[in-house]
Amino acid sequence: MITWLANPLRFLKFAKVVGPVFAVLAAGFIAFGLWQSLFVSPAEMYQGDSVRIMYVHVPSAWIAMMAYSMIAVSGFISYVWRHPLADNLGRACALPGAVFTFLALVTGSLWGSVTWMTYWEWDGRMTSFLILLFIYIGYMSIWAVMEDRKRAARIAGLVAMVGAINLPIIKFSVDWWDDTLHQKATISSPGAPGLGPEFLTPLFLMMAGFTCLFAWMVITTVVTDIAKARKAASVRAKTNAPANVTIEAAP
Amino acid sequence: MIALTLRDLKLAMHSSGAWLHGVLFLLIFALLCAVALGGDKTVLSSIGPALLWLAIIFSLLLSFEKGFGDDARDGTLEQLYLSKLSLPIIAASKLLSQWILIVLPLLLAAPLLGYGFGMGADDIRATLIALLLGTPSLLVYGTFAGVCLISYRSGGLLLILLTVPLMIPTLIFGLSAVDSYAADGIINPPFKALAGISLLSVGLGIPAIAAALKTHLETS
Repeated sequence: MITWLANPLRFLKFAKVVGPVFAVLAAGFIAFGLWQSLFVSPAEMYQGDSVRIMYVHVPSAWIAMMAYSMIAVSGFISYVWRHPLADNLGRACALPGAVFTFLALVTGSLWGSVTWMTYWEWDGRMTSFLILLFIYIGYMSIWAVMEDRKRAARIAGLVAMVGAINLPIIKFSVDWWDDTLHQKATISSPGAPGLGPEFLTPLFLMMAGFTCLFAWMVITTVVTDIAKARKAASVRAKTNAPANVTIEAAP
Repeated sequence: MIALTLRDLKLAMHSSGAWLHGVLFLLIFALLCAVALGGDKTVLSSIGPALLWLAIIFSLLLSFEKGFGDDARDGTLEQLYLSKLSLPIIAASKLLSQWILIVLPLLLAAPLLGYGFGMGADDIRATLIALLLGTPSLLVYGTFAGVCLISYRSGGLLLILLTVPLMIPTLIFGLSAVDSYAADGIINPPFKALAGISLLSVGLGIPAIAAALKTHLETS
């Protein structure tokens, strides 16, 4: 599947079909999920209505981490096989990833203001998400400052890989440093109290919606990038073409 | 490899003391801290280890840009690449010379600062050991970022942006190592974690720096 898609032309055809599908799915899931999370699901016993922030906060955090893994994997592919489509993919993931990281931080802060009585605490998870935001900004600035596309792709790939190796270390050290306030994985860890189905339904709907939204954003950005590169190439071809000169006999 | 390191050292000797800029910055930082905190030694000594770590991190961040920068500008790097030396060897020798030229003077000046902050002998010793174990990783991160941005002049802020997130674990374990030194001596988890991070970053950093050098040489 991946090797089949590696051809930009085939990818464009694929994107033409899949992009709108993701857009429609995202709209559907998010609309249904919002209705579920705002009207159907009950307020939580202790937190009241503020628990509804979770339906934005958790999916944002999930996309933030998924986007960085995609950047790291496409950085590896681009570095090893020098495939231009992988560069496009990594680059396209960066901005949505950074925005979702920011969204996770902001919604978390708002949620914290109600439940923990503080907008910000130097807790392990919050700190490591702030670091993740800085890593995203660093990755994007490499693309921004380097004019030579080939070099930018290779350096960005390297930086993404180094970041990916370091992220677990950062996460571990920051958790070890201070891990008091933010709750642990509630759904996936064994023995955890878990969430009731009335909370899980809207949460999963929103996660599916956010994932489709992210996929649509990435595909659209890649398609735009390919179109831009083609336009630049065609302009270059025109300006480099030999001029038509007719030599007339002097009168 | 040793010859390359020696060459860097000799060049530094002729640079009319440019290698001392880091130490000078360290002293300036200490002066600013002392003035900002009201010169109160009880306050200074309690946060002394953190101030020392900050001073050294800032001082290093300012000196990373040199790294391979001069070699790249005057064409030495291309010549080395054309010689039989492999890029990882070049990277390793540069790390060694940078450690001697940049980190070692800072480590020698650190006890002086510690004394100035009124820290106890134990605290100074613990901070120094932690710095000794932790600084190799800081050097590797900074040199890597420096090579990535080698062709981009005035990449100072970007270099800091790329380097600082990677430095966080070293800083965290460095400070908790100092905290636990009084109770457990140097055989405690943070010291081991520091040494582990440094070994890991040197081991993985040399190929990464070599790869970034190769990118620079191939695409310029």
